Amino acid sequence: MTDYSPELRTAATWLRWAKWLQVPLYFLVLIGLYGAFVYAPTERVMGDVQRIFYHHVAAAFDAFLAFFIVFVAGILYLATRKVLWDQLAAAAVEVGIVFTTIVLTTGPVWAKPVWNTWFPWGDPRVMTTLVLWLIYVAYLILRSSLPEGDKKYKFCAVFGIIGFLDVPIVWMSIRWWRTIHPVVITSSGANLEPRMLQSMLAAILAWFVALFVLVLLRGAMRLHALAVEQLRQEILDRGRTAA
Amino acid sequence: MNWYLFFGYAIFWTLVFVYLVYLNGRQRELNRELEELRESLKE
Amino acid sequence: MKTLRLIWTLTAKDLRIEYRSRQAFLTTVFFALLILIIFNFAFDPGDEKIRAAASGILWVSLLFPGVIQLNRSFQSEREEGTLFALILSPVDRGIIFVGKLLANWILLTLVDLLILGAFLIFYNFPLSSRLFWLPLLLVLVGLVFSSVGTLFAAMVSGLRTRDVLLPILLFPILVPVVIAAVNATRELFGTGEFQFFYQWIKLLVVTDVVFLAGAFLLFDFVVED
Repeated sequence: MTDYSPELRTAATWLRWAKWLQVPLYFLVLIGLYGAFVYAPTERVMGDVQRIFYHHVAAAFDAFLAFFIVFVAGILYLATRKVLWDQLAAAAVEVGIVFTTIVLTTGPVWAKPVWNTWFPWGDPRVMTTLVLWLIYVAYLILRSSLPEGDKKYKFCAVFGIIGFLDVPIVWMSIRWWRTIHPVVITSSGANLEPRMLQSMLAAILAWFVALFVLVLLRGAMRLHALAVEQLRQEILDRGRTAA
Repeated sequence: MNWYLFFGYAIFWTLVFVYLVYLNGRQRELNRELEELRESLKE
Repeated sequence: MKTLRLIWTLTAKDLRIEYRSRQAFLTTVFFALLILIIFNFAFDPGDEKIRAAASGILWVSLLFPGVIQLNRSFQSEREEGTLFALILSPVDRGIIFVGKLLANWILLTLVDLLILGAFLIFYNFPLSSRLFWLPLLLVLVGLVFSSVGTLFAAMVSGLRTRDVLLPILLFPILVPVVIAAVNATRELFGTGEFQFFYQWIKLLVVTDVVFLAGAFLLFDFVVED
């Protein structure tokens, strides 16, 4: 019988961490919401709509972090060939896509009343998020078209690394692009009122913890799924040798 | 009531919720598979 | 010296195969021509707006057909089982990568030059000395396209879905390259000052270096066993 207990042990550890992180998570999310809706003053020009900003930016920031996890886990997989790194990367891609989807859908709701456009093509932050979303959806498509095994994990790690190398280049190219086509968007992050800044940081922290809880849960689930699949294979093999 | 603000957060939480429901579904599927394997071992 | 000779042997092998069949080359050129012509029908005849969109049209017609060329370069290796032989041979994987990359790069540049000629005729561009910069752009974009492309093509070559998968993987990564190429070309077609041209060239050179190094290092993992 193959020994898959190391992976299951890892899964158990991840689940334990996720469980402990859940305790502060609910408080942090509540604080984040309080900060965005009550604590932060109403923005003078944009009005209440600007309250989307805190959690919108937090999701963007933490999505970026998720893709950084994919990059690091990819390198670690190629170096160690341990399945757990691949499963962690895959979980981080999924959660990262959920976060970028949130960014790309809450963004237009905010952009419409403020900039009078649903989608500000040319804003480097928006465009970089969009390209990130495209890259990591492509990652999931690649994943789903490969059979389970070392080869799949290697290819996904390679794609995850190349994808992340692309991020600074995307950012630069869109910034220069924007300087050619002037867009009427002013920077919104600079010169934040202290209470606004605190609310934003609280939201970032809340979704940062949420990111880890989700990635750990999903990663553990993936490891369990692999173990179940392995078990099924073994039972099938045993049935065959018995017959 | 600012409707843009309302929709912004409605979309935000809906997406989080949808992902949690998806995770729940995957977990249930996994449990069922495990149960099936257990049954097949009993026979 | 020996390394260079080995690389050239591999490149020459690919070029010779392509010269004999000319299959990928002709398909790629034809597809690119089709895109150029279809775009013309998408605008009203004689519409001046097409001028403004011209540099975008040029790069769409250069980049999309390039995928055919990339897929083709590994398809024959798989079908004949020669990729396996290459991997078993006592040659460093990096050399195999560079050999493949060079072959793809040369073929792509040839296709691109042909298409560029057709484009200048179709779209009735006034010839100016600025257009001599275009081949440089083609070469720079071709290098990043074929280094990431060769890496990904090797990855998907064993899959049934490779024809759809390769562009899906490649184009999200190439977004900044498209932006740089289109905007640099727009300055070449215009008559104004060269405001940002060198900046775009710089971006392309950086992209070339990053992806060439990245693909070179990662190729090892893509062709194992």
